[in-house]
Amino acid sequence: MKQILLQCNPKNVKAMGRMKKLLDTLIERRAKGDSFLETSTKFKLMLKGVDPDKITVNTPDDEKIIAIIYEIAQKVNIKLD
Amino acid sequence: MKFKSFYTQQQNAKEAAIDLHNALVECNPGLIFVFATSKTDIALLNKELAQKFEDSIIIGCTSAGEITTGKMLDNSVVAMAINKSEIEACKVEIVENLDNYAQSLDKAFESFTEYFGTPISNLDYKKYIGFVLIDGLSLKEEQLMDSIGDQTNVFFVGGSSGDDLSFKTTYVFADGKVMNNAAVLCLLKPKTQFEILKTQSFVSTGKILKVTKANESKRQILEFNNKPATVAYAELLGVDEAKISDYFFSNPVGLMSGNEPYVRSPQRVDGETMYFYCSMKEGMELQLLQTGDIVSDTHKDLSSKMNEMGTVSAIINFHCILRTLQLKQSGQSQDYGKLFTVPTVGFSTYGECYLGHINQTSTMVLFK
Repeated sequence: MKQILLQCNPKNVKAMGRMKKLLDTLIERRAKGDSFLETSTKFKLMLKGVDPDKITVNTPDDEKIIAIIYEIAQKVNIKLD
Repeated sequence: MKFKSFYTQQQNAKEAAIDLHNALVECNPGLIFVFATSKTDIALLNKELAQKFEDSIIIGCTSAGEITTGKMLDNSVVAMAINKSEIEACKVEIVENLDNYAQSLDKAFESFTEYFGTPISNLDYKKYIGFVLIDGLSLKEEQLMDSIGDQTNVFFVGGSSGDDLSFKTTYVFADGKVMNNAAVLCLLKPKTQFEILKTQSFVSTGKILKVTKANESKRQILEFNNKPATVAYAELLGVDEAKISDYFFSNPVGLMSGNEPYVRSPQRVDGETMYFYCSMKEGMELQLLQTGDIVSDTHKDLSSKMNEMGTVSAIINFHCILRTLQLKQSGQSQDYGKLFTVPTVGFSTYGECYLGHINQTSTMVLFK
């Protein structure tokens, strides 16, 4: 029982989906619907160490990676919020 | 004549410049690409060319082998002239001091913005093509390409300068100025349609090597898959660890974008670590690649692109030195050269540029 409660405690549930949302926004704003630019933007992100295809809505949010995404967005002059 | 390519094997730089001038002047060049063996006097060649082609933009670099229409060459100077009538606009900028290039790159982009009247971030990648030539011994290609890619969606294609495998000094040049630890950026708005072709002769084995410890700035991998790099690489290949360098040409690793590998080639072993010709970040997942036949694969990719375009008037080919060495080993150099039946210029690079820095690849620009 103690174990179940621990699992259900919102403090122990990791947030998910923010990284995917941020990456989707970044790619969408950079590529503006051009599929060729979507592919090249995704690859540029891979070269920076963030693989957008490996981050899904179920990937637990990682503050370190979120900070990297914001840093990249700033460099490529895209506003995420 | 829209494009004209030419080569000379004249070793005397002054004589080589005369040869190039005699051959290319009739093309009324607005832009000339020159790739030259490091064995020639590069400063003199550039001085002479700048004097002879006063009204043309000249860019180029030293090479590790040259490519011209129908031929692969050594110890030569190759060139291609693009007629002024084919150029809507063209601007060249130099990025100096690659150890600390941020300011110089900003200045270059400001100059492009001023010249083209539009911020580089807004330029249409279908109308503009960028060329980049980087000092091939600088180890700064990854960072520079990353910075360029941050600023624009225009594709910058090019290569790292060579020095005929001496690995001592390489040069890039533009309009008579010869430099090292520098890069030449050329932003071109051609009047004719163009396409980019990136081709490499590899398929994925599906075997994964994850970078778990790296010294990125040195392009050194300490660990793959939480094991010493040499151990993990040998295990995946299924060969004796002492013999892995025999497999470097045939089995590099690839950062995969879908099914498309962006090749990173091993250079050498140091203890249980491996040096590559490209840097990799910790956490990157790579796939072990298996080589195919360069001539037949290039033929297939080139034919497909040429058919898609209908007609092709000229090709600029940035061709990895490792591919050149593989072709020499297999006695296929001339067969490769014969693939280029339209005016062609190119050189054997110390690394290719397309989105990032890559190896064992040819990045080409084809003009209609």
